[in-house]
Order: sequence, then C-alpha cells, then structure tokens
Amino acid sequence: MNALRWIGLAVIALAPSDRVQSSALVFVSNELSHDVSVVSVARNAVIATIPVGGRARGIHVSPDGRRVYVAVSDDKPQLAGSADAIAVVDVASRKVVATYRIGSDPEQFGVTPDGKRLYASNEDGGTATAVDARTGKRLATLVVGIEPEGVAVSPDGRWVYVTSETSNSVSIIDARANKVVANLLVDLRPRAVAFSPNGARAFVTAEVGGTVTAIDTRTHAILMTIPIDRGEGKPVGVVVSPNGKRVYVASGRTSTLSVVAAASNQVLATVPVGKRPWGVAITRDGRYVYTANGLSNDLSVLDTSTNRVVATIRVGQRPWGVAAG
Amino acid sequence: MRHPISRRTFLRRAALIAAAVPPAHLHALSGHAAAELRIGVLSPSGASDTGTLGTLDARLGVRLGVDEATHAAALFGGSIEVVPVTLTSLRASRLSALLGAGDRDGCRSLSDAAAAAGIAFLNVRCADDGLRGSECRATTFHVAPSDAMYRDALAQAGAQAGARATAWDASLTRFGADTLNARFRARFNRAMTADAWLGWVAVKILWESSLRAKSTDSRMLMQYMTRPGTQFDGHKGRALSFRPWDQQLRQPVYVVSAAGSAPPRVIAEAPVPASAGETTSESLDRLGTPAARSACRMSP
Repeated sequence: MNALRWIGLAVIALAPSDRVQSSALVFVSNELSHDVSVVSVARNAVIATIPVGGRARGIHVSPDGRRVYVAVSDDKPQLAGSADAIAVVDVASRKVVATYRIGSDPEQFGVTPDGKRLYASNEDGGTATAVDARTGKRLATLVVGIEPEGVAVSPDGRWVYVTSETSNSVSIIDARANKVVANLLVDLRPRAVAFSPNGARAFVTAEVGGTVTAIDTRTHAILMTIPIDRGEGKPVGVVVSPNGKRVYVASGRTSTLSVVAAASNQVLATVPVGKRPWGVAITRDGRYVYTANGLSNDLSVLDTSTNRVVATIRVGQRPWGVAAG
Repeated sequence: MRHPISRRTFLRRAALIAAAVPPAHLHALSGHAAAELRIGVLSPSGASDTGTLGTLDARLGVRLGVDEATHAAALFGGSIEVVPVTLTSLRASRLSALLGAGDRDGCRSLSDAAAAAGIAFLNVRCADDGLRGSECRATTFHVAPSDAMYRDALAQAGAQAGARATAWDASLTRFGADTLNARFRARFNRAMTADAWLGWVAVKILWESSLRAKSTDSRMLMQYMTRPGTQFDGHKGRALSFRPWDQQLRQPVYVVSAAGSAPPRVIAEAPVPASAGETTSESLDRLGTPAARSACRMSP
C-alpha cells in the first residue's frame, strides 16, 4: 500500500495548484455496493462510480477539494477485518490512492481544516483516534464515551466533538493538545454533530431522544434542546448552511429532512425525502441539500430556496453518507 | 485473517481508562466525583456471588453494565460498586438501589424489603402482573416486561402457538442492537439473552440517572426515574420510560418463533411504532396494563 500512497502523493503534487473542479461534485458512500458514487451537481446525475473495496460509510472531501476520504470496513461489525481503513480517493483520477488503518470498524470521522489530520471514532474501543492525513500515522488515542459515533472538527480546527451513543455524551477534544477537555451529557443516542460555519455553535442529533442539541462552543455549554417532529423524529445526519442560518437534519426512520432556523431554533419545514436518509450534505454555495437514502438507494436533492425536493438520483446500493466538494 | 477484538480491546480500553487523567471538566458534576453508586445484589449466604440475579446471563449483563458505568465515571466522575447484601442488611448497606430477580415470591420479598428500607428495587426478571398490581410498591421499578405485556405482544403479532415473547434476542441488529450484542459476545464469548439485557439495562438506567440527577442517593434516583419526561435508551430504537401508575418500564417486546424444523428467530416486534400524532409512550402503552385497569395503589 505504500507504493500506492506515493503514487497518490505524486498525482497530487503534479496537479495544478488551483482548486480541482470538485465544487460541482457530490460524493456518496454506498454500504452494500462497496463504492462511491460521484454526482454532478449541474447534471443531477452519477458521472462515475469508484470501487473502494468494502462497506463504505463516513465520507468527507478534503478542504482543498482534491481528495475524498471514505471510511471502509467489512460487513461484519466488531471484528477487526482486513478491509477496515480510511480509503483516500484522488478526485482527479477517481482512484483509491492510499488507505489508512485507524482501528476496527471505522464509521465516522472528521478532517481538520488544514487537511493535515483525521479524527475517527472507534466504536468498540470507546476511543477516538487522531491520524496524520498524509502518512496515516496514529498521533493519539483518546478515551471518549461508550460507542462513539459522530465526529466533527470545528472550522478553526481547534475542537473535535465526538458523540457516543451508549453514554449519551459528547466528548470535546482540544485538537492543539489532543486532549479531552470536557464531556457533556446530551439527549438519547447522539448520532452526529455539525458546526456552524463561524464555529460558534455545534448541533448534535439524538436519534432516540428525537432532538437536536445546540452547544455553545466557546463555553462548551448546552444552549438548547430542539425537538424534531415534537420529539418523535429520528434525527441522524446534520449539516449547517454556509451562511449559518439553517440546520438541516435527516430523520432516518421517518424518511424526512427537517429544516431548522439556527437563530430561533424553530423547525421551519419537514420535507419527505427517500427512504431512511442517513447522511446529509450541502453545496458550498448553499443552494442544494442532499440526503443519502439507504433503503431507496437514491439521493434526494432539496432546493434550499423553496425547501422542495427537485431531483432524486439513483446511486449505489444502500447509500450511507454524502459529502459535497 | 480475522480475529475477535474482544479481550485485547477490552484490556486496552481498561488500561486507557485507568491512565486517563480526569479531564478538566468544564461541566463535571461538581461534588459528584466522590459519590459512589452502590448497587445491592442479594446474596443469602453473604458470599460475594450474585445469586439472586437468577442466572449467569443476568450476572454477566450486570457486569457489562458495571464496566460501562466505570467507563462513564472516568469521564464524569464518581464510581460504581456492586454490593452483596442480605435482606436484613439493606438499610445499613447505604445502597443507591437493589437489583434482583427470582421467582414471584422472591421478587415480592425483595420488593417489600426495599420498600421497608426506603430504597429503589429494580426487578430484572419477574413478569408477574400482581407485583405491578395490588402488590405494587412506590420504591419498586419493573425493568422486566410484565406477563400482560408478553401476552399482548403475542396477540398483536398474531403469533402461532408455541411462539414466545422476549425482552431481547441475540439476533437483533437494528437501532444499535448489533453493536450491543457484539459487545456482550466479545466480552463474555456468549450470546446476550433477555436476562443479560435486563441486567445490563437496569445498571445503565441507574448510572445514567445518577449522572443526570447528580446524586447517588436512592430517593433522588427514584425522583429522577419517575419525573415526567425522563427517558432511557436500551438499544431498542424507542425511548424507554417508567409508567407512572405502576412503574413498569415501557419497552418494545420481540416475538420469537417456536423451535421447530427451522431455528427460532425474531418474527415480530410489538407494538407497532407510533403512528402520526402519537407519542412513543402512548404507542408503547399498547402493551400491558393501562392506567385505567391498573390495581396498583402506590403506597410504599
């Protein structure tokens, strides 16, 4: 794999210094078909499919848009298997150019804004791992809650939030010191976390609690718990719009996308999407929101100006995550 | 080459937790750090075996719950201890709660003894409706489903004769059941049965209550468990809560096919999920004795 990694680095080194044209692309991880669908925003169509060699779940685009990181595992959770890794996809060549070992059964992770580090949750270990994004070398292993899941890095790279499903907690890592500095109790079964673009707020979804918790990132204090669908929603994926005004929440088991006003913490709309939306992403210009719908094998495209689904795109089998370049 | 992560991961995690310097909690539960959650388990002989939990599975479920409580304590402060007790030493044992199982009479005597001592009793096995009816106690919390809930589940699933209803099954996968089942198997090299789940979830309810109530005092824990809006997660996908009228834990129940030519498997979950406009609690109350028909008059 070292050779591949060097080839990958070479490809990146030879790429033009301006941003690779990934801003118009959306990447979808597919659990069952073991691949990544590349979707053109302009055409609302899959333009390429990249095999990643295992069950693809967490997915992120690097800050420079040149790489896509995908958490890949085998189909048997809780067992360390040969497929367990973060796969690094080169956007230009649409090939896996490196794989990083980050412990068993990787699912969710975050990328620092400088693109230098990845933070991943290790579900079975009750830990989070910091990894050098260039070399794949482990930098730190930190004790977080029980059954850690969602991971997000603050826009300034200072904080890493990790949600833990069994302990109903959020662990806050100081990324400068690689140390857990606070643990917060949130609502039941916290699944995912997203920061506002200015970094002032973090939003944590609680699937069984049916809520989203808003956290003040300066004081690490809980500001408010927002019921989704009167507390009967099943929020999973979450993303904040680039202007910070809207929070989009995918409710897996109710097959809906909730639109929350960040200022008032009110739910403005609940929009039916495909079946079992899990991951959610928004384009950099904030015009479109995408949900990866695990049971209908498609991607719903929401126009944020009308809060209506304007397209449904067939992707791979059991789409899990989605990331906008 | 595959290998179970079980022992290695467990030991690694234990070492990490032991080494973890208590974080500079900005929100640590101040004053809580020294508090010990003391869970009593009846041991008639006075020895340290946890006899009245009934089965080995229940004991292992409790042990996994205690492991996880210890992990949580590393993050939030506090500690947990399982305390062997006798019926006569309950009051002197400074318990946060008593856990117990056994037959109907065994559960009744535990329920009565805990009521006399003024501490919470979590019933993790007895399904008897009478314990939740005319014999109910304000200090008794029924984590195990009732006979009425099991009967309703079988009826709602339209189950064939021979099928049985259960609180948990090792083959469950949805809503995080797969990770819990795998965690139990990795730790003990055996399947997580209903007894094991009930032991685990009872301990989870207690440590979570103590973190949220910021107390290990039995009265404070009971107050938290009965407070309107208090909910728990047991990896069943729906929020669990105690019914105010008989302190039965609301929860989904699974229907397993009878052993026959094919191996038994989960064929249904009851009740069906909440319909539009219905709350989770309302939908879960379609199993078991409703308030209007309850014979429980909550006197301690």
